[in-house]
Amino acid sequence: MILTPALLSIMQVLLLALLGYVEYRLWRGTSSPTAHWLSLLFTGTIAWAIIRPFMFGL
Amino acid sequence: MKGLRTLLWKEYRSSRGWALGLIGSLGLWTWIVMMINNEGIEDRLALRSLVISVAFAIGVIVLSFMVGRLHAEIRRDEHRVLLLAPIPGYLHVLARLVFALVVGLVYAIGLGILVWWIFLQAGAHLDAASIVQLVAAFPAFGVVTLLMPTLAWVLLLVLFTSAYRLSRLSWIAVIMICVGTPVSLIYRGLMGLEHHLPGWVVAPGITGFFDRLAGVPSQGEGSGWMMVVPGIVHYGDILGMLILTGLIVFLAGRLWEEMEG
Repeated sequence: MILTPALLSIMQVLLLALLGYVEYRLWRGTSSPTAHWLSLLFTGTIAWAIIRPFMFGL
Repeated sequence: MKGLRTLLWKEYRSSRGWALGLIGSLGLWTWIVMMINNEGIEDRLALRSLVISVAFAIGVIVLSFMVGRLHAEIRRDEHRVLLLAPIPGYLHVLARLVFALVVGLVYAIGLGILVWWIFLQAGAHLDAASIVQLVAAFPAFGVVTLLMPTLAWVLLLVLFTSAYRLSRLSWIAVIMICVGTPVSLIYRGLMGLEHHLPGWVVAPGITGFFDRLAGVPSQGEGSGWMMVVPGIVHYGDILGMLILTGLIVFLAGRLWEEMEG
C-alpha cells in the first residue's frame, strides 16, 4: 500500500488524538505534580516528533 | 550526610550479593579472554576487545536491574518503615545511584586492568600515561558518561511508573518514558544534552602500539598524541552528563517525596 500524503496526515491526526487521550489518562492517573509534568514532557516530545515532519518535511 | 550514610549501608546490605556477583564475574571474563588464542595478533586483540565491550555492556545491564529492584520494593511496601524518616527523597535516589556507581567503577577498573593485560600479551610496551589511561581514565569516563545517566534514568523510570501504581496505569507510563526519551534525544528540542562521545586523545603508548600493528611509523611524543590525564574532567561531555544526572536525580527525588505524601 502506498502511503499518500493525505493518508499520512490522517495517521498523524489519529496518533495525536491517541496521544492526547493517553496524556489525559496519565494526568488523571496520579496526584504527583512531578509525574504530571514528566508525562506532559514525554507526550509533548512524542507529539512534536509526529508534528515535525508535517510542518518541516521528513 | 548521616542519612546518606545510613541509606548507603542499607543499600550495601540489600545489594551486596549483586555487587559481589558482578565483580566476581571478572574472573569469568578473564578466563574467556585467556581462552582466546587465535594466531594473528590483530584477530586476537579484536576478539578480546569485543569480549571486554560485551562485559561492560552486561555490567551496565546488571547494574540497571540492581537499581531497578526499587520497583519490587515499592510494590511490596518495603519502604514503609522509612516513610516518616526526615530524609529528603533525593538522598534515597542518590544512595542507590552512588552505591551502583561505586560497584560499576570497580568493575570497569577490573576490565581496564584486563585490557592492560591484553596489551601486554600482544607485546605492547606501555608507558605510565597509557597504563593510567587504560586502568583509570577510560573506566572512569565510561562510568560517568554512560553508566551514570543510564542508572539515573532507570531510577526515574521506576519512580515515574510507581507514581501510577494505584491507578494501574504503570504500563502506559513505561511506554511513554521508553518512547519519549529516545525521541527527545533525537529531536534535541527538550533535552539538548544528548550524548556524544568526544574524540579521545589517546596516550602515545597505545597509539604507538596500533601504529606498529598497522605498519605505520609511530607518531611519538610531542606530536599531539599526549594526553594530560587530569585534563579529561574539563570535557563538556562529563559536565553535561553530571548536569543531566543531577536533573534526573532531582526529578526522581521529587517523585519519591510526592509518593510519600
